[in-house]
Amino acid sequence: MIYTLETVERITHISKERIVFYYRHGLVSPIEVPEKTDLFFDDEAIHQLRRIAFLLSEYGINDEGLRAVSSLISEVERLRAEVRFLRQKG
Amino acid sequence: MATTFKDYYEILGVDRKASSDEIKSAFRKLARKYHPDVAKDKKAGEIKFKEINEAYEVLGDPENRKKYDQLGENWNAQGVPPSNGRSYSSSNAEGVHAQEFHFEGTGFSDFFEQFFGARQGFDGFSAGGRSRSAPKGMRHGQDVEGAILVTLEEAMQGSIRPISLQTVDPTTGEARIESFKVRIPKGALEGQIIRVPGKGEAGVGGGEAGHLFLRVRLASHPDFRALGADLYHDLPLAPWEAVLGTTVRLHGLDGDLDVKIPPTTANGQRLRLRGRGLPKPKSEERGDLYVVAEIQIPPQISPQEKELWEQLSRHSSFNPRG
Repeated sequence: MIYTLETVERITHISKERIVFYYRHGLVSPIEVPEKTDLFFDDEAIHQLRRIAFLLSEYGINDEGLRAVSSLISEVERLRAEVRFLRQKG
Repeated sequence: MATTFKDYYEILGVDRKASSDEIKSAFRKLARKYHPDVAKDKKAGEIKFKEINEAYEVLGDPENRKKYDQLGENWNAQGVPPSNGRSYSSSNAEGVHAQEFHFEGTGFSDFFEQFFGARQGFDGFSAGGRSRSAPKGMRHGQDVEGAILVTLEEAMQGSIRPISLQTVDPTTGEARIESFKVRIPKGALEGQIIRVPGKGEAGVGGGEAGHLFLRVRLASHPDFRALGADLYHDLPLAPWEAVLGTTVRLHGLDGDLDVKIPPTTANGQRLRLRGRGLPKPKSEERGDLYVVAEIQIPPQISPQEKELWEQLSRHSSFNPRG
C-alpha cells in the first residue's frame, strides 16, 4: 500500500514537517509514483519513521545520531540478507 | 502462557553434532519431500515445510545455532525457559507486562519468535519502544513486530494468509483470539515490511492501538536462492557436460525451462536468464535467474574411464597453472 504524507502523519503521529525533514536528510525514503510530485510512502517507510520516533524518545538521539544509526541499521540489514544468501549456496 | 521448546535437530533428523553441510543436506532432502507443490497431503506438507524451514533458520545460521544449543542446555526439566529470552509481550511505561501476543499462521512458532525472531535484532527497537506522546491519560498502544515466513512461490504470485492472534491479559488471564488476513504482495522481498494496522498493543484512555509489523523472511528453497528480485540456481554438471556443452531441464518456480549450457563453461560461471526471477515490487518487470555452474568430479572411476582420462591428459595442451 502507498500512503500520502497526510496519511503517514496520522498513522505515525509525526508531523508532516518532521517527516519532510527526515526525508530531506535521507532517513526515510518515499516511493516514486509516476507523474506525481507529492511525497508517497509505503509500509517500510512507516516502520522507519516509527523506529526513528522510538530512538528519539527512548535514547534521546539527536538528528546527527539518527542519521548514523539509520545508516548502520540499513547496512546491517543489507549484509544480513547477503550472508543469508551466501549461506544457502551449494 | 508457557513457551514449548522446539527440538530442531529432531525436526531435521540430524545429530546434535552434525556439520553445517549435513544440516544443509538434511534440510534440502526434507524440503524437497514436503514442499507444498509436491507433497501428497498439501496441508500437512505446508505445515511440515514451514517447520523444517524454521529449524533450518536456526541450525543453518552458526550464531543462531550456538545460541540455540546454549538455550537447550539451560531449558530446565520443568520446561521453564531461561530468563535471557525476551517475552513476546508488550509492556507499559512502568515496565509492567500489559499483553501477550501469540500468532498462528505466520509460519514461525512462538519459540522461534521469542528467541530468534525480529525482536532480537535492530527490529526490536520499535517493538520495545515507549508509547508515543499523547494527551495526559491517553496512551497509544505500542507496535508489535514479528516475522512471516513466505515461500518463493508466494512471493512470485502474491497470496492472502489467514493469521490468528491470541492476546492474553496477564492480570486477568483472559485470552482473546482474533483472526485477520494478511496480504503478501506479489514481489515480496526478503526483509520487506508488511504493516497490519491496529493489531499491536491496545491503546489506553482512548489512545489508538499500535500496529503489527511483519518482516518477510523468504523460506529457504531446496533449489533456488533469492537476492533481491534475482534468483540463483546452483547447477551440478559433469566435467564433460561443462566442456562439451549440454541442455538441462530446470523445474522453475513458474514452470519448466530448458537451459543451454554452452561448451567450455567454467566452474562458477553464471548463465543469465533475463526476466525469469521474482517480480520486482510495484513493477511489471521481473528480476533475472542466474544458473551457476558447479562442476562435480566423479567420486569413483572405472578402469576404462581412468584410461580415457589418461588419454585426454596426454592429448590436451590445457595447463591451468601455466
